[in-house]
Amino acid sequence: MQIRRLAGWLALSAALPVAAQESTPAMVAAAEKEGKVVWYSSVDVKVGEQIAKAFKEQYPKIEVDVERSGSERVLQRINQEYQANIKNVDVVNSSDASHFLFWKQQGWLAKHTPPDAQKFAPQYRDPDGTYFTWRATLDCMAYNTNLVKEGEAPKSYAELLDPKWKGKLVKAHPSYSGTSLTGTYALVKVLGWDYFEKLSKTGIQQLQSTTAPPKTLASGERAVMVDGNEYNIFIEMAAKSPVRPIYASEGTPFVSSPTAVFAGAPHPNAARLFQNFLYSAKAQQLLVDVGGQRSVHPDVKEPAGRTPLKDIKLLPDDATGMLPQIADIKKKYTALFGN
Amino acid sequence: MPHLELEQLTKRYGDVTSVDHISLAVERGEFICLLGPSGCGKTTTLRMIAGFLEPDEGRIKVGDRVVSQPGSVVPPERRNMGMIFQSYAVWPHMTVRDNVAYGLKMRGVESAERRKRADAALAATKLSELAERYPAELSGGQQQRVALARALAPSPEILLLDEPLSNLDANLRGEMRLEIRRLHDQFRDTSIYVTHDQLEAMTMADRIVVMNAGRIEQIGTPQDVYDRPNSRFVARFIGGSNVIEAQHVSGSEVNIRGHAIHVGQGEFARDMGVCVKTHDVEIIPEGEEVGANNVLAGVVRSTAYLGSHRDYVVDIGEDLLVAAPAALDLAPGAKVKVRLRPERCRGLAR
Amino acid sequence: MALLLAALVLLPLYWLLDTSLRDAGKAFTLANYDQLFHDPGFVKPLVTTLWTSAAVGILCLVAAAPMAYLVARTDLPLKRSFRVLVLASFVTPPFLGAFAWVLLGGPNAGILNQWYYGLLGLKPFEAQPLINIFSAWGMVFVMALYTFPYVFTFVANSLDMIPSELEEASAIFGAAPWRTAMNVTLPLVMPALLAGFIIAFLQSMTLFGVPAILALPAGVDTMTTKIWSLFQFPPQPGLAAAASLPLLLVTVLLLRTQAGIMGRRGYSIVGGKSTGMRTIRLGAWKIPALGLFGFVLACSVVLPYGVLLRTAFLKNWAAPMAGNFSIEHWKFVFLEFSQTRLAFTNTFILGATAATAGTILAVTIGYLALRKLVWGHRYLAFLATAPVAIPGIVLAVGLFIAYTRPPFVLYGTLVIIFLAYVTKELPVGYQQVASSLKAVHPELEEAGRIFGATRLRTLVDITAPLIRNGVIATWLLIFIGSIRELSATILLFTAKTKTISVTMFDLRESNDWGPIAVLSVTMLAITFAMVAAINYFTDRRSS
Repeated sequence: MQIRRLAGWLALSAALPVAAQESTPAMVAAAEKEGKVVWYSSVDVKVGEQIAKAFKEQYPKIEVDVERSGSERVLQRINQEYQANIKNVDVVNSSDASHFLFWKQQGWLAKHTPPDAQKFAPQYRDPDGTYFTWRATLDCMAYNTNLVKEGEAPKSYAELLDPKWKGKLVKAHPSYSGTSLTGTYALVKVLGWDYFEKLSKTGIQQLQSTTAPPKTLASGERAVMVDGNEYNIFIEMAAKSPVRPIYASEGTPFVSSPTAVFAGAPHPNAARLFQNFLYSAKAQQLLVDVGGQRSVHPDVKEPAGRTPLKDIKLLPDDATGMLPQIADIKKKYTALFGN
Repeated sequence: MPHLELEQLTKRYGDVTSVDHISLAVERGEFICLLGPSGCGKTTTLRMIAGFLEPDEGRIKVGDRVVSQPGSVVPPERRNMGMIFQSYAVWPHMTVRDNVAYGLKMRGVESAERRKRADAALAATKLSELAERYPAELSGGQQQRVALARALAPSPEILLLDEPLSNLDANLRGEMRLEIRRLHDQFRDTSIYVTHDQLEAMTMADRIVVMNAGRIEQIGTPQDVYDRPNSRFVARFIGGSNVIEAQHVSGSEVNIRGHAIHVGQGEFARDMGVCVKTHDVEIIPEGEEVGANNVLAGVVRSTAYLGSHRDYVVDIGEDLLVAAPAALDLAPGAKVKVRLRPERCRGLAR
Repeated sequence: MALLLAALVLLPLYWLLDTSLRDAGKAFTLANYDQLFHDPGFVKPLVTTLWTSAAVGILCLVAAAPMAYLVARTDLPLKRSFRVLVLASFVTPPFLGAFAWVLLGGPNAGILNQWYYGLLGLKPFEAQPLINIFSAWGMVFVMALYTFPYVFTFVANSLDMIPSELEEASAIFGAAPWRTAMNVTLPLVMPALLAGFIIAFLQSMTLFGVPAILALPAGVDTMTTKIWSLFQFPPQPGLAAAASLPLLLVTVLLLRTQAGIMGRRGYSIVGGKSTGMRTIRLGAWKIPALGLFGFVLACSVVLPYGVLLRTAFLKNWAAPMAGNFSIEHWKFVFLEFSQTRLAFTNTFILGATAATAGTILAVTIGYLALRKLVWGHRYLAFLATAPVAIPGIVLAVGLFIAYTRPPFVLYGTLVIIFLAYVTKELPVGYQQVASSLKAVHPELEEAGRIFGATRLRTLVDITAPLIRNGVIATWLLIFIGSIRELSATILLFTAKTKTISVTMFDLRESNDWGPIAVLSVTMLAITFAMVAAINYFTDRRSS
């Protein structure tokens, strides 16, 4: 009888969502003893540092080491380090959700659900509780308002092939940027490789990270961005740079960027504490206000002046579908556009 | 008209006057030696003649043409002179023949004629067999000859030689001295030869210009300069002389260390020098008969046997260098008398 | 000692060769080489590398040889200032120059192009820019700007060594100055010209920063960027090793050719002393001469430094300066950026340790080799200068392969980078020590020993003080070389072992030019302080 009760409890608990791990005072104390959290992230470096600063204001005794690189590089570094048995990373954020699939398969990720993440819609949560969408952005087009009049700005990807845009476009590279990779995957499904082949002949300035084209646009070096981070565009706009996003008629790729804690984290408590912080309403609001990001946290408010997600035609991301095609996408793209 | 003329030539470096109002007239075909110690201005003078330096005062004329004066200097490449440098300056990247033919090439001589003349110069300096070699494959003496051949090939009117033998060893030097003089006689160019070695000057020059501290001390044939030096400096520099300090008494009598000595030639001044050649001093050992005229007492300090004669240093209150017959063999410490033949004593007012 | 050196230099090379011949399963194969020569993805970068390096060599010759001649032989004014500026160009890390030229020569936002458009009333995007720095030729131009000092120095030194009498002789025999220059001066400096070309070629061949910053955005790959891309995860060491070998072979080949050419014809000048230089009067030629110097040095030093300083203090670098002034980038780099502290610490630790170890090695080897104290001393000297034949990135590949396997797993530590720096900078250190030691006549030491001092005592009492300045200069040279190193570090670093140069490179990925400029200015300031120190210590010549 007791066994049956026990089994019942077990079955019940298995059906329940994984319990969240709160930031208990014990965890805080242990984290402070560890003194540091190492965070590999592909978010724009200044945004990352601001998040870190906010965390440090709350927990002054814990240092945050922000290691910023493009998502693909984040993947390489972590994999290279783990292969050499170097366990340096505590928390990772990447705009390529497929990375997390890979790391989970390797068994490198820790099961840890921040309390706030419990409220997220299921498509933004890993069923095994190892990673959750931390931020999201759109891999969108944009234009420089000084160089291009509002009426003349392209409204679709197809328009970019018009000769009048030759030599004026800038773009990121899927081999370096998870955002661009996700975007490329989504766009290939809609526009085909044929489109990209034509695009490669328009004298595009080929950059690497999606954080870069918005800045190229702001400087006036190029007039239109083919893909780049929407959040960087928002940041530039806040700094009064002459840029504006374009939501193409064929659709704009949506890129969710998860964060996870590593099972082999050298500072396990600080890692979890930090992770919890990252998903808190406070951090999420900061991401949205200052970082230009989109958040899937239900309590976060979208600032004025930004087109709400529901009004944009989105091309949702699909990490599982993308995973087997990654090498192929990178190869085809490199063959067309170079390294 | 003199072939080459220097008029009041002057060159200064900052506060130092390196060449001080030099005047010299050189006849065509003469072999002139500028002789003096380092720093006397001889090389600077030569370089002004060549056109590498501009004079601060004075002029240089070749024939009736002024080639150098302050503010206007005909560049070396247009002077049609030849030069042999102390370091030979033979171009290491050209063969011997190309080196020798260079001057001809620069003057636009036709290829066939060029070869003929270069070969002639090579034959004259006995370098014909080495014509295709590179300088690095030659000995010092051979390179010296290349420099010679090169200088002679374009038949320059004026040949300048800047201490060309100082890098050779003694034997070779002797040989090359004769060689250079022989070639001069053969080609009859006007040669200006700079050296600090009086032996070279004595054996090669038609006239020697002795220089000191930027000025000319004396110009004359080797015999003039050797037998009849005009100053203490020349007497000492030319070698083989003793210069004794003396005071003029009257007529041809001077006072040397309290002794009356008769001086047969030269110039007299209140404080003067008396020049007497080492081989014009007689040593009379103690005990032998000697007259009273022009005799001083002394002690032998050291002696050196040189095969053909014996050198003595005799202390008469100051050191006297004596070249005596080999047969006379005296040990240091021996008391002697020295006799200065009056007709062989020369007074030096400077 | 010889064994230690051999291990340092030869071990990575051995592993390089070994790995290039194996596939992923460690079986022997030639597949890597096959791909290298048939896959256009490899052949193209190889061809690009070869022609761009040659172009750099020629460009350097065309500019630097006349510059050297003007400085050594004519009455050009402002010589001292020019020499100082050439030195500045010499110590500027090329990737820094590349950063600056992005700001100057970007076809639409670059400052120079903006001036050009403004001057001619043109519109960006519609008109052809004055310069498009994002191109293979842009890369060649910038590489040449920072390699020409090598050629300049070689040729100037060579000219200084030609006794004036050789040129005077030519003049006396009737050659006008330009004919003397053609017939006598040029053939005599030919070895230096050749050596300069070869060095410029080799330097450009192994650069990573400039191609990555200027050529990649235009879709142009070089061998160094290709090798780097092969290290993206998962790394393909076999291919990377195979790709490294052509670079190594070209280097060795060219160095041997150069040695061969220098050896013939005995170009040591024969004869006695020379009497001082005759300077050529330029007259009206002064204008074009000054123009040449002005142009080269403006492009290499004045404009880049200017634009970096400007960018460090402006909010938006492409906008006009009015109302744009800000120190926010300085605040960010030094107060907010979590990477700064670590990068600076790493860089200085690496620089100091590499310099110290390198100096000790150089002095020991130098002393043993020059005083011929051990059997095989010639091999020592050879090994000490051998690393110059190994391009930095090739060395890194070798080190990576050698030290990411047991027994010495050094990847991820500062040690592996330290090894790279010591190996790479050893030749320079050795040369400096060797020339200091050569200036100390062995008889000075023999005199000590006659008077009863042991060899060690002599070393301490007599030799050491006499080479003191040379040793200090060596330390500083290796230090400077290490802190600006990029092409090897870019393969060997991990998050914890980042250096300043890598940090700057990373910032470029996200176009953060303000912080890049701040770090550049800082790095230059430190470098110049070091150079001033070197000058101070080598100005007082001993013996």
